[in-house]
Amino acid sequence: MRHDETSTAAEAHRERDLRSSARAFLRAERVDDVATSDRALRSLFRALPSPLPHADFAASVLASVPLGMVRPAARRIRDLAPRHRWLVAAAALCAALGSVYLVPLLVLVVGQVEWGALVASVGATFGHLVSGLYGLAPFGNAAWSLLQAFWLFLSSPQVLFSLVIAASVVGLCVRLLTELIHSPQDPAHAPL
Amino acid sequence: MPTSKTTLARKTPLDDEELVARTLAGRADAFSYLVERYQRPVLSLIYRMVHDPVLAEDLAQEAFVRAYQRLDRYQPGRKFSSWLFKVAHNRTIDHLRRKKPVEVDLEAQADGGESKWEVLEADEDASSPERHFEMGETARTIGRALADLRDNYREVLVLRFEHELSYQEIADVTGASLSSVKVLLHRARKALARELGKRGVEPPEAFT
Repeated sequence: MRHDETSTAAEAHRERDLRSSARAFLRAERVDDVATSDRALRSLFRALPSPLPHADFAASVLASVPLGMVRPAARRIRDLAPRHRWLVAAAALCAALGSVYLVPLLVLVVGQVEWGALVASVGATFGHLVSGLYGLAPFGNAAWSLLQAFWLFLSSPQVLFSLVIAASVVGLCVRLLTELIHSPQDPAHAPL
Repeated sequence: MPTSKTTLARKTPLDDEELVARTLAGRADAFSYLVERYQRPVLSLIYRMVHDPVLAEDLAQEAFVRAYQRLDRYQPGRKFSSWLFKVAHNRTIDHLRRKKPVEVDLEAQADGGESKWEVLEADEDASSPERHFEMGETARTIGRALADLRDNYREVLVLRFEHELSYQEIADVTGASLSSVKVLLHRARKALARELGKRGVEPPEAFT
């Protein structure tokens, strides 16, 4: 009962505000008083009712949001200085050319392609290492590089391949260190 | 459009840019703060354009989803609310453009049968704002006067006087030039005064 009375009083108050604002606006328009007309319109729109969102509006928006559609990596590349952008682009190219699928396939199909495989593998390691350092690639990529190099080492145990493994291990360590250093400031982990 | 259950926005000390950065870093909950912060103004803007609270809520939801998908295009340093209004404006304009004009069956009217206008009026009644939230007589009159304005007139008035955007921000949202916005606002003001006059709203007697 009291709630009804309150809402009726509020409604009557709003109606009065709307009426006086509308009339003040018309009066100001009639005499071309722009400043008063602006003020009257502001108070008119303040008093004008508008729908309120439903209680679970935000939840239903989030439920409709396709997670993973945002592209933080693309954004981070765009935010880099041009010199860094070239380095990242080169790294991405190397990582793609020396991908985990390409090199083992070459070795399997052709048999003896140690040098080509080595170059591709080193390229991939470099690419994944740089991507990892810039936070553009997941941690798993560098691990794939390591596995790839290790697999090559087993297929054709030459001394040069140990360099690849060493590079991969160093890459992994650097990536781990970067993770540890950057985690506290990482917006992904900071409290809201 | 229920009004009994409404959301109270949670508080966070983070500003819009910080919340955008965290959303881009993979924190979907950061985006929920942005939704809660802007759900009312976005819904209100769309509602003023489409006059249907249920449709407005659907379009507002789609606008937020679109904003999320394109969040990487938001340029830090610019006002987030203006960028979000632009997304909402585009979604609403898309909807208004797609909406087919209603055909009037003149033959049926001449025969005394049920015309399509009557059907349309019944539909309008079903989604009329009065059915969804309380509106007094003056609010209804002003609402109808606004509804009878051209879309672009109504939008600039709402952006300027309800959401208090600057001329430049309105230009950014609507894609119009700064001078066009000024001209539109001037004409919109005059058109609203005419519409209110037609509906019997009069200035105080001393000025008539």
